[in-house]
Amino acid sequence: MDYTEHTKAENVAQLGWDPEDPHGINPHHGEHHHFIADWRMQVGVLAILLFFTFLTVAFFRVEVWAEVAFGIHLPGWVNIAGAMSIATIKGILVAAFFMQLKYDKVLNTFVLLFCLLCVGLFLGFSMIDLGSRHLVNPMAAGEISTGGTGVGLNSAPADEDFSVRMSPKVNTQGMGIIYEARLTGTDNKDHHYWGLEKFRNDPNHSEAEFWEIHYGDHATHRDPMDEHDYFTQLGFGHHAEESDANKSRGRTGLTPGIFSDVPVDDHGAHDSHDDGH
Amino acid sequence: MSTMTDTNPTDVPQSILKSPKHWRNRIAGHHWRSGDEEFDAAKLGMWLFLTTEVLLFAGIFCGYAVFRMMYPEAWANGSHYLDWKFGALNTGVLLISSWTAANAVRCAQLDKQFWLRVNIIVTIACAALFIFIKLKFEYMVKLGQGKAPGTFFSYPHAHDAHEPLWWSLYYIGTGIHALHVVIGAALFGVVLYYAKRYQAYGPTQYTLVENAALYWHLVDLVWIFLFPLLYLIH
Amino acid sequence: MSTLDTHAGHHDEGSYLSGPPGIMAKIWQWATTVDHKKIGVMYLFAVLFMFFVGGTAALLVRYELIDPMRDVITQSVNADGDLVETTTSTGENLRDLFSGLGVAGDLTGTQIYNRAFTLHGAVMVFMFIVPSIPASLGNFFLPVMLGAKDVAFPRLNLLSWYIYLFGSAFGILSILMGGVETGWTFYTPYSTTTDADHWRVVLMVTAAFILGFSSILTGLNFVVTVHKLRAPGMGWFDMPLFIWAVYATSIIQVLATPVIGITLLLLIFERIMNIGIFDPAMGGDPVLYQHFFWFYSHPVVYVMILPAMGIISELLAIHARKHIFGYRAIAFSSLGIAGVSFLVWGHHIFTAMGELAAILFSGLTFLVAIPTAIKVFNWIATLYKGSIVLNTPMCYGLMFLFTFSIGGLTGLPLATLATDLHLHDSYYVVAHFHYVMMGGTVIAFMGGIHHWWPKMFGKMYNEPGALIGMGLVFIGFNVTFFTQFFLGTQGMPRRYANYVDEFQTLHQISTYGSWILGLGFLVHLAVFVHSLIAGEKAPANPWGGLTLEWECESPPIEHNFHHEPIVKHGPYDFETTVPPHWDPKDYPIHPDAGKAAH
Repeated sequence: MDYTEHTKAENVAQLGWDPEDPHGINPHHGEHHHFIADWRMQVGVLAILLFFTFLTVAFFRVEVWAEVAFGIHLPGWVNIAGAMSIATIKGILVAAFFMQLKYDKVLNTFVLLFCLLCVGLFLGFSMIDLGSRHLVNPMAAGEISTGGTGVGLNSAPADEDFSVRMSPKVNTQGMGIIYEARLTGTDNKDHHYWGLEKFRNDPNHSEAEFWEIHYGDHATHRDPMDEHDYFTQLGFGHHAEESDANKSRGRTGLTPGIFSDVPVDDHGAHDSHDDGH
Repeated sequence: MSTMTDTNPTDVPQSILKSPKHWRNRIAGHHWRSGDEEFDAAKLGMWLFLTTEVLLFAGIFCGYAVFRMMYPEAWANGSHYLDWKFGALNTGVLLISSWTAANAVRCAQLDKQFWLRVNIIVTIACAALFIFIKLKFEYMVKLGQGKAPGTFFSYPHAHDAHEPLWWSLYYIGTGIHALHVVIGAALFGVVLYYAKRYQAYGPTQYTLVENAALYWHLVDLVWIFLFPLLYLIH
Repeated sequence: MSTLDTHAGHHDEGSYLSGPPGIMAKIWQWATTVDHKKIGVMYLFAVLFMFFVGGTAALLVRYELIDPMRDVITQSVNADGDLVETTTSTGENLRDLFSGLGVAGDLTGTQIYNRAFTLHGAVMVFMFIVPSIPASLGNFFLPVMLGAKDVAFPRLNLLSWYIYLFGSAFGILSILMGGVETGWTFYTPYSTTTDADHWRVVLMVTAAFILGFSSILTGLNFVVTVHKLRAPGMGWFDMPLFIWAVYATSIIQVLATPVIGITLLLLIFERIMNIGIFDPAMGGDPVLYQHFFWFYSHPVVYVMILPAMGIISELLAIHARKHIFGYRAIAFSSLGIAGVSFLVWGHHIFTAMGELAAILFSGLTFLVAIPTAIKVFNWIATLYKGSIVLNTPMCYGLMFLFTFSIGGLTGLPLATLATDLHLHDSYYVVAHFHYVMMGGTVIAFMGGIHHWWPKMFGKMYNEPGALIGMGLVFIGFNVTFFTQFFLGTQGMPRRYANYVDEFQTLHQISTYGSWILGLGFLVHLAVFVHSLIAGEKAPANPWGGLTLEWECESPPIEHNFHHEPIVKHGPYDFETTVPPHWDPKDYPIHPDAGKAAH
């Protein structure tokens, strides 16, 4: 069936739709409507574009001149905002008139705008990350020490026995920072802000009291600073038997364990090690 | 067929008139209902391709924005190294070439074959001028002073430790842009060849001219944004 | 009743597969074709070949992981009567395998393992899964389902295919030179500073760059085709859901792929010239590379899954003989997934990002689960009260619902900041993405291949054989990857060749599963080969489908349709329409079909 032999009117009458534009998207379809630009309009747009180029350079030169001659310091954003807005206007002129988006189907404009939206997302989120990576949430931060070991990229290389460098802010005497905080009470938990040291040295309070408060938060294993095993003395030791979900499974490999000081396949009654777990 | 009063249809020699590549003889692909549908589809396809080019440059703009945020002093210093005169001259050259490209489309629509070729030649000439200015007065000079990308940077009087990063982004941004200028000019070269040999473009068949012009306008658009970012902002 | 595709009034055309006589003429015809069907078939064979290459690499990876690397110290008494200790290393399985083949050189076992998993990832992502469904089934069926004769730009389609070949050649060259150890993600600073044979990294990165262009041009073609070449009577909401899915995929391909282009270009410049953008010593940021990389690679995972979801819509509706539930919801959720996919790339970088950005990305990642869930519920509702026939396509569709749901749900602990801290870069992530990519895309791809095989090649496949293959794939897949969730939560890191003894049992089980999985795909390969050689001739509409491709012959003629089809019913109106070319012996339909809808 070759529809093109009949006129558009005949086809519409017979079929109910126009074979060259079945969805009725383009009502002027049969008229071969192509927009032809007026040469005066094009020259005018070129003139405006060249003027804006002149303007953006002048803006910059005037700013430099004002700074040199009068010492006027405009804030940085003025420079960027001015240059970018002029560039945007120029861009819109080129897109709308030279690329004829103004006279074209809306879909093409939509394609360009959606693309620019994606560019905005890309730049925006990346800048949010790189701009805020150094920030720490103050609610969770508490007192910050600038690095647990005080070693940075510009530090001298570690000496031969890899001894720990002291942090400029906090000297932990080689202890881990968390344990240091728990000892001196700077770990910012409200009810034992006194720290273990203070409990030990205060005649009105005892170390057992400290550990009772500390273990009261559903402790499941003993803290390595707990030298007198208050964990078991105060009766928290039974937690260990309730669940072994957080323990390694018994070894079922083909050879004995790699780490010789870890016992093989016992449930529950494992030694606690000084490394903290 | 649209006819406006100022069309001067070109006289067509017989040899060209018989060629299947001549615009009067070209027909739409067999899977299209009409030539207009094909043209609209080709234009949509070109716009989609232009968005891929925009996103390609977006990576460079993202690098620029992120590092500008982190190293404002290096970025302020960077723009001082560049001579705004050459940048402004290049901007003007590209804007004029953009105008001639749009004019070329118009000439094809009006079957003005001679002016079509003139406009295309001027566009290509502007592209060559752009590359010439860039190479001779900018790249060669800067490279001679040691202001080179990355590991080749050897300018001894840099003020800020992160200036080599600015230079790297400068070379990559303008370099990839210059590559696109060359590609656009080559595309117009193809159009020129077919226009000269077969008068392949006319009021009903000017898809390639339109698409080459769209590509060229995009190249111009990217420069419109690159120029202030690199040369003017501090 | 839709227009049946009769031959009246036209000369007898052979199918698109018949060509000129002579082998050279046939090769020339296929090499220069602009017919979307031929290009689709070529892509199909290429991606299946790449799947086997990547799958072999996966089997090598799993073979290495079957036991950890150990030094075994044995004591023995030598000839002089002294006690000597000899140390032998065991568990370096790949090294033993390759040195047996004579190609190991002086690489350590870990280095060989690194190259194996990089090869697996790069081939699977760039050369198999991204082009898989759009370039093969999409190319073949998008125009046919729309009622068009070809895609919008047929020559661009051929160019896409050649760019794919060209890019793959670069990748294969890199592999033949020994491969790279960076992982398929090419993270800086390792990829920019690893100095072992400079050119292999550049080659592999260039391969990915070139393959990106193939992807862009295919996507561009499809978007314009869907806008411009629909048949009369087919509005946007009369299109099959496979088209909606491929359309959304194509939008992502066009917008996201250029960013990986510039990323890889910057990576090459960083490597060659040390431009400094990713180098902390020069003020750059290695995590910026990750932002650039994942801005593309996250949307690309939706490029992988969206066409698969489109196939599932087709499979479940046709093989359950029931109209799809919530057509518009599924259609809009395809677009919704495509849109939101651009907002969430940071969830791959949680452990390296600042807190504020991490919180934003985490919240947005939860958002993308919503349209996905809408689809799954709609599919289940589609099956409800349908007449399900458990043939291979339907079984793959059901398998998809199971495995993809597991994959999607296990993404949520990874989207949650607190749990991701522990699960990042562990085997949990590996299991998650294999469940969605393999349990999602590959399963749907297999279902789609079986569903459309009769149409593409005019031959039926052996159903019992395919069901056996499917069963092996199902069992093998779940054994391989379900165990990896446990490995991950227990702390096994990904991309490690060696591990502590505790993980060995699960690793062994996973490896045995991979062998079953491999066997399943070999069975499928055998069924396909047998079908092409000796399969029974397929009718035009073996499943009783209502979308336009079932109105063509099997296989279709060169121009797809004899006359431009006019669409007068919806693609899933099983209750009210008798399918074209339908033979009651092929497929039972509801007894009320053809009567007025109530």
